Amino acid sequence: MQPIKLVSSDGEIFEVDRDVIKLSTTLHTMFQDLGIDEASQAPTDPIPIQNVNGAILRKVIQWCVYHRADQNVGDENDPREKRTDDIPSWDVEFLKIDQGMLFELILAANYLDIKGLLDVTCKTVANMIKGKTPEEIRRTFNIKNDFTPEEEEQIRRENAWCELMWKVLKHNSLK
Amino acid sequence: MSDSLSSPSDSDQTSMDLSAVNPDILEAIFLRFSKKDLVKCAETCHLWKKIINTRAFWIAKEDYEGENYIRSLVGSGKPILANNFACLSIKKPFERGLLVHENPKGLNEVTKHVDPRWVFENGDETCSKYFNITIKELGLSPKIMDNYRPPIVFSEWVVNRSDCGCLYRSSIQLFNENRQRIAWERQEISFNKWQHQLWQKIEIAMQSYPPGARSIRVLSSGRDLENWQGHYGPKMAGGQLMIKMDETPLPAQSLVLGDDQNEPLE
Repeated sequence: MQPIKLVSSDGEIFEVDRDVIKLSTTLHTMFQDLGIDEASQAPTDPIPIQNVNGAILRKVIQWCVYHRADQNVGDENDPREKRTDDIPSWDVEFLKIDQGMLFELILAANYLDIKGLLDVTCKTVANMIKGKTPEEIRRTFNIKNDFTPEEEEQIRRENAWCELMWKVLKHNSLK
Repeated sequence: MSDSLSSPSDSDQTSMDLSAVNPDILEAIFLRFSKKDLVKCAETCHLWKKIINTRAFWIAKEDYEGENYIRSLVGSGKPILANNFACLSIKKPFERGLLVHENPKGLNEVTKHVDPRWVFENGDETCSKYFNITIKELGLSPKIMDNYRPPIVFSEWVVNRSDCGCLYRSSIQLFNENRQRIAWERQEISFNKWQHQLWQKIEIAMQSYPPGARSIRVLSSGRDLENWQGHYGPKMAGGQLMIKMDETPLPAQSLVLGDDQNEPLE
């Protein structure tokens, strides 16, 4: 089984095993559509990954190589994927990168449709804003408050019972 | 997408700028946020509010979480009585049991306080239990209560002791924001002495009530008919409260009942 060559937006070439590439639904589907299966000859020309630069593509491939043998890839019903605070420790270390790069990884994972990578990167972002107020969330993500004071008041009133309900939820879940 | 990809980190290496991100990417990120944080995110700006406060988003969020609540409401074919889908998805107010009905410890040991909201009281002749729930807590807005008045159903299983007659009575009472009772509905069963023991399910459905309901009180009480010392009254189990997702007609006349009629058992 020959590796497949990928070329990043800035011309860097990577050789990647096919079972690693499978993690990307985008590429996997593309190969299927082109009739390239594991038995066939690998395409000689590198496949352009137009939206992803070399630094990010290297990171993406590194993640895929580590997770190539995961049993639960693509398993929608895996309850372990549902919580935001259960990022595997290897991934936690892997994602100790600056937020700009984390964001580019999200874009790449979304473009290449790598569900597991999209999950852990977005969960990392989710952890950044956990329990924060709307104002703190705006500061974290550089969001401009475009509500008028009246609108803000209205929204606060509509969501007033959201504050109340968490207590009850906690109450209900004691088992 | 290539625009946002170019170099989002140019200005600041350590912060994440989501102010100009493609809505598809935002939605992918939002799906991984907790429901509670999503409510906060919808309060940050118009665009985020618009993305988050849609039925489609909350169906996608529930799909991601492996839940099926909003889909099942939509699938029921009934008109959805609420448009705050965040609240629907978090509180799940309609068409499900709202009280804790399992034995909380999950063991064979039966615990009296199955739902911690029940309050138990001992009177001279009767024992009663009740709970008060503010309707806001259930995730039902005043608008829903005033415009649609969904049916409120309480059910419970009851049985007697075969060696002693007893009386069981249960009621649903609705109060407005001034704590005045605006509606109530009740049922009672009496068991004769030597009557076979057979658990019966009683159900009280509040089908028609005036606008303005802001809290619910459910009260169940019982006493034995021999005035014996000890536990000879009816046994109660599996109390459950459900709000149906239907619209009910207005009652023929709406009246504010006084608090003096509050006696569960005379």
